[in-house]
Amino acid sequence: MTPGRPGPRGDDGNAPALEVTDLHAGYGALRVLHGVTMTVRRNEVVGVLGANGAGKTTLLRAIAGVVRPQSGAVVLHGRTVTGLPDHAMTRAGVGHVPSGRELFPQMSVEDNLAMGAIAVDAVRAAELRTRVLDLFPALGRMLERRAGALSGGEQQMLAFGRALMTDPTLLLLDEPSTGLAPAIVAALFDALRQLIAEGGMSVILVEQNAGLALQVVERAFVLRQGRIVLSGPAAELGDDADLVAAYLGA
Amino acid sequence: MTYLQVVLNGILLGGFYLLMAQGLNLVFGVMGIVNLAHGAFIVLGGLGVWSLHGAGVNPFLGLLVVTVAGAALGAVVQWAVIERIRGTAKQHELLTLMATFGLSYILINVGQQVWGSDFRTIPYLQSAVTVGPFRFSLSLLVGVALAAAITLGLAAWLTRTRSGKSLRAQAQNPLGAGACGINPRRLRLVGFSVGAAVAAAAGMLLVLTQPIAPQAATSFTIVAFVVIALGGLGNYKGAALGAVLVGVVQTVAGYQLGAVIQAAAPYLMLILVMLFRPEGLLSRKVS
Ligand SMILES: Nc1ncnc2c1ncn2[C@@H]1O[C@H](COP(=O)(O)OP(=O)(O)OP(=O)(O)O)[C@@H](O)[C@H]1O
Ligand SMILES: [Mg+2]
Repeated sequence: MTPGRPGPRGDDGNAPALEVTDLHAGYGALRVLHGVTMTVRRNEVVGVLGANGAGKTTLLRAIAGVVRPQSGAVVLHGRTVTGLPDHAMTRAGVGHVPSGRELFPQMSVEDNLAMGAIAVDAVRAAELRTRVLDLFPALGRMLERRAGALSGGEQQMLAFGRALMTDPTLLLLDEPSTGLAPAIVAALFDALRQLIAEGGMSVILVEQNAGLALQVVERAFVLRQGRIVLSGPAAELGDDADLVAAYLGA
Repeated sequence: MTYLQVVLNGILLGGFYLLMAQGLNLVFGVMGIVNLAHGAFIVLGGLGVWSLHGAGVNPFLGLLVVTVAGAALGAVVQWAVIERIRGTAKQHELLTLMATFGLSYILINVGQQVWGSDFRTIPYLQSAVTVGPFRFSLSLLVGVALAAAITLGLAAWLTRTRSGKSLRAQAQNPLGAGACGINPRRLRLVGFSVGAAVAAAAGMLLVLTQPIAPQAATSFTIVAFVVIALGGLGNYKGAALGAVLVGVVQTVAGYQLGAVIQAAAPYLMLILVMLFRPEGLLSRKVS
């Protein structure tokens, strides 16, 4: 999050932030991803687009260690992390804002944020907290409230903030705009732009709202039935709106 | 005895029941299962203090000893048995439940080998205390005060410390806990160990006020379960209400209807809760 801070844990200096190779994953007997290969360069912001059920969430879960890959490889900053459980992936630098937000409903906003930094040293945690409250001033005004009592937009900000508290080098955002009022979506994306502008973090943004995502990301992948069927610079995909729409609608 | 005196005794009894239920609630929170060996931990704690007292050890020192021993036993059981079942089987929750049932059986039998089947109590702090119109046995008052202190300590641990908060986080949302980097395996070890330690401590307080024997373990498990079921499984505040309710209902039933109904009261309450408020008295239904 801070420009010029030392490289990610175990970084070999040149490796991409993330290399996913021929990834297969699913739920029990159900196969959802059928050989996904993608690379995210350091400090790059990429989008993953796709229709309902295409496997976007499953892809993020496989990278975050929530779902164990059936085969394939996940390499984070040059370190093979395939099959590590979610808590280990968090400690390896993956910050996950899950689609269900997965907050601690009976705990305060303050404690939810503190839980994010449970594996971070106290000095750094204090810096991160300041940063998060800077990005989301609304959270600072409700630190004592229970997370379960927040509105959908506030919960999304808290999930975002909690992920930032883990001090990630790779941030995974799963449809942050879903079900939220336009003003809240705008606030979330302003915060995202601000983070991106500061550098120091790679981002994978999953969105069904392709127009919104393509304004923020540099490159995007289109996922369809568990396969990447299209990828390219955001500008090109944005120009080829018909093509994207065709895949997203399918 | 006046009626009010009976109700007050019931409330005090509720203090014990709350402590008995705390460990069970804690373990349920992190593991998602009811530990059926919970009552056995209580009994072993109580009889352990009884033996130490027989050897000349002050019961309060004995409390420390069995609490530490309970923590160690809990950690070993979790590490050697329960975590392994979890690692190997798909339907681990049902298997874990059955494993704790088997463990209860083993511990009760070991207890009977060591202590026999006689009910035992420690004649300690037997004098009566008069508060206004009411009379209480000193052991009951001291026991309740200790139970309250341990309950408050546990609450402070859960709400103020990093490890306690992690435990609540894990109980409230395991996926969220994973996203924070919380290692659930370590937390389950801590949770089960603390749960067993608190159970052993509750056993010490019980043996001061009533006779206990190894075969009573099952009924303690049931009482503790009724308390947390009344409060809503995993709900720490609800458990306090549940404990007082069970204590008062049981004492009043004993006074009015006799010992048989008194003993049956927790079971009857369990059936009523399951029929009418399976989600607990305090829980609001979530749409
Ligand atoms: N926990 C689960 N257990 C079983 N099947 C699941 C689970 N989660 C998702 N699926 C199935 O996996 C497939 C892909 O789902 P996934 O959530 O990855 O899609 P998605 O692209 O994120 O869709 P959406 O845009 O609706 O969020 C779907 O068929 C879905 O029904
Ligand atoms: Mg999804």
